[in-house]
Amino acid sequence: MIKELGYERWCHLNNDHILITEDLTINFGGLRAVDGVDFNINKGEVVGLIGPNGSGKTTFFNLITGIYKPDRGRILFAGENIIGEKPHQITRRGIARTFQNSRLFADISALDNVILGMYTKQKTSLLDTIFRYKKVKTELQEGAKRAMELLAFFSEELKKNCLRPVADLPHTDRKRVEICRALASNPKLLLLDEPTGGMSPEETEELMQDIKKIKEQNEEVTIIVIEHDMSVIERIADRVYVFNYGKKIAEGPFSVISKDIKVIEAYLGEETEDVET
Amino acid sequence: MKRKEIFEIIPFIFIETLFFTIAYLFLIFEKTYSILGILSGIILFSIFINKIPKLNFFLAKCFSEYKKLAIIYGIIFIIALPILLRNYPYQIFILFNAGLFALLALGLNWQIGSTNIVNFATGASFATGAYTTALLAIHLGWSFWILLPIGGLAAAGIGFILGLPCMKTKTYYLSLVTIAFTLIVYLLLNNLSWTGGPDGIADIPFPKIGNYSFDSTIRLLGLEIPFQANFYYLTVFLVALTFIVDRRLRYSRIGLAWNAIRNDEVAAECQGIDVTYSKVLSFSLNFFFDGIAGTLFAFCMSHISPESFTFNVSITVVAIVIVGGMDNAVGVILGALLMTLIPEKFQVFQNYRMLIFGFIILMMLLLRPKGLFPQTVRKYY
Repeated sequence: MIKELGYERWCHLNNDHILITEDLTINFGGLRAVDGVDFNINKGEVVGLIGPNGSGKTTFFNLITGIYKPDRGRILFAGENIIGEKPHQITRRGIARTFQNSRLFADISALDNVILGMYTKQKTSLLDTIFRYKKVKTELQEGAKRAMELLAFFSEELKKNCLRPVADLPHTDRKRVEICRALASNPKLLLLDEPTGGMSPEETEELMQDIKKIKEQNEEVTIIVIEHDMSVIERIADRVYVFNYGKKIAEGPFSVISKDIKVIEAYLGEETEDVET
Repeated sequence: MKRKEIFEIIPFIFIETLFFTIAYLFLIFEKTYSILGILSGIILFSIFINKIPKLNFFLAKCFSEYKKLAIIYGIIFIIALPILLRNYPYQIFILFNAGLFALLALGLNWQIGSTNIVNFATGASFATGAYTTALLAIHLGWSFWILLPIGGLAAAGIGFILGLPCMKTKTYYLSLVTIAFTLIVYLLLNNLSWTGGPDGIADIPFPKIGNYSFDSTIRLLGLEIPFQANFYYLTVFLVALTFIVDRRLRYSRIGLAWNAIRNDEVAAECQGIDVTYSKVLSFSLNFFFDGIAGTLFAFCMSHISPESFTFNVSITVVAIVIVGGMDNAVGVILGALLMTLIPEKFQVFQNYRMLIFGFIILMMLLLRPKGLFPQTVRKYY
């Protein structure tokens, strides 16, 4: 039965859950933005998160990264409870993310942005900076070198423009810089919030290949991706979670999900509903 | 040396010499008309250079290629300046004052420029350094050289204590807290008995190196240089030191983190930056260097009173950073020179000083929000 449904794609992975949430709930006033979500993801898996606008996908990311505190529920990252920790502590544990409307540091260069992604890996203190500057310099130069490699990985053009302020770069490049910044911290878990938002079909295709390449280079990295483009989800996600009104309404491989009656209803509206044209 | 090199060095040395001559003339002229003449000359000259792109490009190339030479020439000029000005002790004193403001502004630059915390507490931190060290010197007789770091540390401690609750507020509210703090410190200094009330503290001993007191005239090769030059050199040394610290901070993960916070606090936090820690660090470092400037001020003036630490000091320093350039140390130092020399030269308008400052800040924010010298891009190789 399981094999028929295509579950073998993820069942062969061991039960090494890197992130588990149980009964995760948050209210904003009267609105229950995320409602009792049980979620789990194995090491090395790519999971897609889909759902109509306002279904709580981004809020779910904000809960994992500590920007919001849940009202109820548990979040276990690598077996440890991370609820109550501040975002920077959670980032230090190895979770990196991008934002829906790329939140880059706009008035400094793309290179600086990527180097900032390595903040958790850099060790020099204030005293080093003032009295032992050589150490800081080597660390920064190593960082700059790695940042250049990361930028070149996405596009040579971007590498050439790496000293320009991010605000001057085109939209696509900004999205790429943000993914570079997230990758720079060598995360165990990477959260991508609509990475292809606002991109043309060709650029989307390119980015998808890049994400696949990231996976090929580092088998260990686990990715959760929010995406509206179903063709992208179909091709990169091992498994899909579907959200609607803050609730998880379905989970499984894309082939199964795409036939799920609840999912179709969520996207297209219920059949019984009067549709005004 | 190749002919081409000589061809490039000569015009660049000529320009720099011209610049220094103008600066020198600007310092010694006292009539409003001659000063206005010089100022309009500078403006016309810069417009002339900007109008001819070839010349502009050529000069930029010369300066970047012979950067070391340009810096060495500049240092020689700065060291020689008191000798040139030996008949104008008051001008040396004004330069000392400009140096003090440069110190304060370099510290504040880590707040307004790098981290985008608009901090008006400079007056308070300046006062903390000055009063702490003045009281210690008078009652315990400690020497200036020990008190210099102590003044800084005392102010940094206050900055840390003020910084923690300040982090609960943001933007305008944070500015309001710092304004209130400056006013409270001013009122306390005026009303407490052990700070001397409105009379302040007098007879603070001058700094000494061995038997050489800083209020004695320098005699060099038969030239007599007024004692103000001692303070001038001391200030130049401290500004240079702060400048180096500024550079190191800027090219470090600390400076990068500050810039990240300036742009987007949530995104910064998601890169693993402890935003509260970084902001409090910026506060404390700013207060540390303000404290050092305060100590320098107390010992060089030998008399301090609350009138030197009013809210006006805070406004002036904020204006310097805004005019000079956000997050650009060179710009901030030039801004400090401009903002202290120009009001001094136009004594006629002295009564309208704050009005003019307000106008300048407004115009700068409208026309050049990043200052005369905006932040430069970090290069790592």
